[in-house]
Amino acid sequence: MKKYHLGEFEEIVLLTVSILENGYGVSIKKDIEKRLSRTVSMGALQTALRRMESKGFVKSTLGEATAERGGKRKRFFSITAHGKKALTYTMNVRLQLWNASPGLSLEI
Amino acid sequence: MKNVALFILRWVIKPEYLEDIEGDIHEMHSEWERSHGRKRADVLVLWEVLKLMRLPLMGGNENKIRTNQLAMLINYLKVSFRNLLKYKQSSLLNIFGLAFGLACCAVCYLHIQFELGYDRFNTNYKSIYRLVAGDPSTEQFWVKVAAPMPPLFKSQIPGIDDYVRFTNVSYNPNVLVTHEDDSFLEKDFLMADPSLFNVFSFPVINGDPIKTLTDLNSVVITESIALKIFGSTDVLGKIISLKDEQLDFQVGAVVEDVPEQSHFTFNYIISFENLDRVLGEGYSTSWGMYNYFAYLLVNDQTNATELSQKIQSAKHSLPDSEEVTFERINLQPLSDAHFKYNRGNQKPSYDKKYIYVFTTIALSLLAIACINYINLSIALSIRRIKEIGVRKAVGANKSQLIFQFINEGLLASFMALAFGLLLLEAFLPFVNSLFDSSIQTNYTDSNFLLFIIGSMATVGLISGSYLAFYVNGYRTSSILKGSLKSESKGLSLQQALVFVQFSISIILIVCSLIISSQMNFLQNKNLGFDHDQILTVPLSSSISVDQTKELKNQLLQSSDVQNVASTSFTPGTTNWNQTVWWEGQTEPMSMFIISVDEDFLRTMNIDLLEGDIKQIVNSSEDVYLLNQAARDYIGWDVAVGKSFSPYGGNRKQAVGGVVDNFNYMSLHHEVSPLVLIITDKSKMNQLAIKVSGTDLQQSLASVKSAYERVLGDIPFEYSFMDDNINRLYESESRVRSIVSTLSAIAIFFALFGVYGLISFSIENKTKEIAIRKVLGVAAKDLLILFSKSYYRLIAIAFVIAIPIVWNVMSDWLNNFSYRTDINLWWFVLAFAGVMVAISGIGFSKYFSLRQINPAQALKNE
Repeated sequence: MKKYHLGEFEEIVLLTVSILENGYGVSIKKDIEKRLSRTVSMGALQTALRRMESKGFVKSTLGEATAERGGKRKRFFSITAHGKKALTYTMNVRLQLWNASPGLSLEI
Repeated sequence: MKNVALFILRWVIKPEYLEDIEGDIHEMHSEWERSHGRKRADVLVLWEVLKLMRLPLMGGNENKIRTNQLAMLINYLKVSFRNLLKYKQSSLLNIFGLAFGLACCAVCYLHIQFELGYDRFNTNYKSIYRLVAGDPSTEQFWVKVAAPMPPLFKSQIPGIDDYVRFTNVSYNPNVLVTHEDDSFLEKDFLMADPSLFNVFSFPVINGDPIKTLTDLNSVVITESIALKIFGSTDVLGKIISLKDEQLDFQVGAVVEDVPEQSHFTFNYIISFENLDRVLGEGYSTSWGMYNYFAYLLVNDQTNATELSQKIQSAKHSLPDSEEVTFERINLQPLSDAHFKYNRGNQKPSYDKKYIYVFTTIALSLLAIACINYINLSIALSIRRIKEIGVRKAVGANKSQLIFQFINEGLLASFMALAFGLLLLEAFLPFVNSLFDSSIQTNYTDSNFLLFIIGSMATVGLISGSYLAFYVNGYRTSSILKGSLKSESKGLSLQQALVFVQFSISIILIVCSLIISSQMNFLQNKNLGFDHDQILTVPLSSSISVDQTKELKNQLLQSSDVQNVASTSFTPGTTNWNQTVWWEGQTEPMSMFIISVDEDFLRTMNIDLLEGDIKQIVNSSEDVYLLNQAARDYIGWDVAVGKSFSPYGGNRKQAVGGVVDNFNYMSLHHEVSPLVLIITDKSKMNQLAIKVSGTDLQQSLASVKSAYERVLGDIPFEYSFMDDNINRLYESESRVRSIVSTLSAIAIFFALFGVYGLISFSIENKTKEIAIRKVLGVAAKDLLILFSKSYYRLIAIAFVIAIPIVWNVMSDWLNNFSYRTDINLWWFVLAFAGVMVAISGIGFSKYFSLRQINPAQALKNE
């Protein structure tokens, strides 16, 4: 159970990575900001991505360099099978809790 | 801004994360630039980068900082520390020597800074000039002028913003001040123009000093006086009395104590308008009495040379018979007031030459310490030769070795800095008592910090880099083969440095011997008057002429008292200078004047060359006596009977006699023309009492009891004339103690250095010694072998030192009109002393030479 643990922000980032085909730092940041209308700092995003990468929830490959990026390559993130399991697990845990909570589930 | 952000980014972020994050930052920047503009984008990016500083992303510099340079630096430090600990004795000697040199330099710096800081607290420092009589570029000038001059100049000459005059309320240095029932014997009670507080910058605590000084009956006092008399500074309106003049003054203002770095000082000031009623009728309008300090505050645009020309050609409306001229009046900038030879200054002036003297000595000591460091480190480097060889073999290049040794030098010098500052704090009280100053270390003063750190860094760099170039000369192959011996090349350099050390030490030693002999000469010089066992008792000016006579009679009844005279003569401080007149005079002339009573000549045992002592003593009128110098100056063969006036033409009278020259000024000066006025009518400021007998305490007690019988509650004070005379040579005594202390230190360090070098050479040549011993050489001959080169060095150092000392000391001795000659014996004495010391060092090594056992030393070969 412990191995699937995801924080709230990590969950959002991981979901966004699974949505985007070729997600990299700036595009993930923009997508979260657009969908959730909240600002995301690069520092928080990168920390979450690297931590999940070390946990094996995401994997990354280096892409092409563009002039706009000062000649630096992009790092594309994609979700791993392990990451998908973690998302499913997190969702199930939430659902169980939802179902167990009578007042809330009825009113929505 | 963007570059700053990227710089930070590259510095902190882990290298494996860096590329894509940096790319992201670039991308965000260009996007923000489109939407928000360049500047805003810069700020936003910087903010974003700062938010990127999170622990999981950081640690980029972990790899970067572990470069070879840093590793080597750490290694150098480690090795340096190990070496310091391994050779404790020589490290301690090195570091302590450097620390001492630094402390001496710092003391010297602080001292010079203190002296050069005189009067700079005045905001008008650059535009204040003092009026002086005579040429201030020579030594023949007088720092006071007549009272009516400054106002006249101000009214006639544009460019003078203000003037201030001041003088003491009494010719007597001490005046009696009373408040209710308390009485205080006080110094520095001045009369001054109110503009004193415009011209000079003395912070006010209470009241308005300028308004106070426009009122005849008000007084300005300093904080410490207020606290002493009243116990508080909130004392406006309180009354103090000047007992001598029977005058009361109301406190109108309290000001802060006069800074020590002021060339004049005061405790009380009353209005200058009091001049006539305090000192005597007509003083404020007299053009002949040069008794007043006067300062001008001039415009920024005013040129001092032009101004003094205008002053010299100023017009006055006096009749020609008064013979008033301004030709001799000159301007002296405030910056010179403390430094030039200022005859008449309130405080002793400081000769700028001593700044050079102290700087030279301090730098010499630092040089000796540096040389010790270099010499001992070179000697030590022979022990470390394997280390250097290995370093070279594994690829250390020249610059790395240089870096290592500079690093080592800097380490030693900065450790010395820490010790040196401790030493400095320990020295300061001693230095302050020596110079009568209040120097403090101020570690927030950036100049001082720069100085000490800078000088230490210089020392570290010089000694370190010298050592580095020296060590670089070793050949790697011969080092590692073990065939490197202490080469003759190295020794000759060491010897050259030792030679410099000894030259410096010898110069200092001989100088201190010569200074001491000159001081002895001054103390034993016949001054032309008797100053042994003469007690000086100051007389407050409230004491009347009759009371003085009564006191004299009472004193003479005591068997301890041989003679008593009432005088206004204090050796070395004669400062009553007045225009004189004589029959047939062709040019104006002023002479020093001392008024004394008829017993003066007998008490002081001064010879009378002309005139009849009985007539002089019994005359009911005042008698004018000239000294021989005055008679010679005027050119009379016989002076008695010639008409003369010490009052610029008034009260002319026949000269009553001529006395032999006596040194009423210090021995820096020839005896200049002097007039003695023998009078029993005017008040004198002291009694000179010749006491007899061997028991000084008892004589003192009987003088005191006589004083108290006649004068009741006026405080009794005394001093010995011998002490007063010795005080005239205070600055020379200081120089003597400084130079002798420093020369002792210098020779100590030089000898210590030699001790170290001899020890090392014996250690490094153990095998050679062993072989010599086996072949039958005695230990004492070995000793001669090892130390003879030093004897030769010292002998050469002496030859070099003689002309240097000769030049420097002749120059110093020329300060005195009465001086000893430089005696070659001083050199011989110093030479013998140093030789004996070197032999002593050699002797201490004699035993270690004897202990070398050839069997032990040679068994590994």
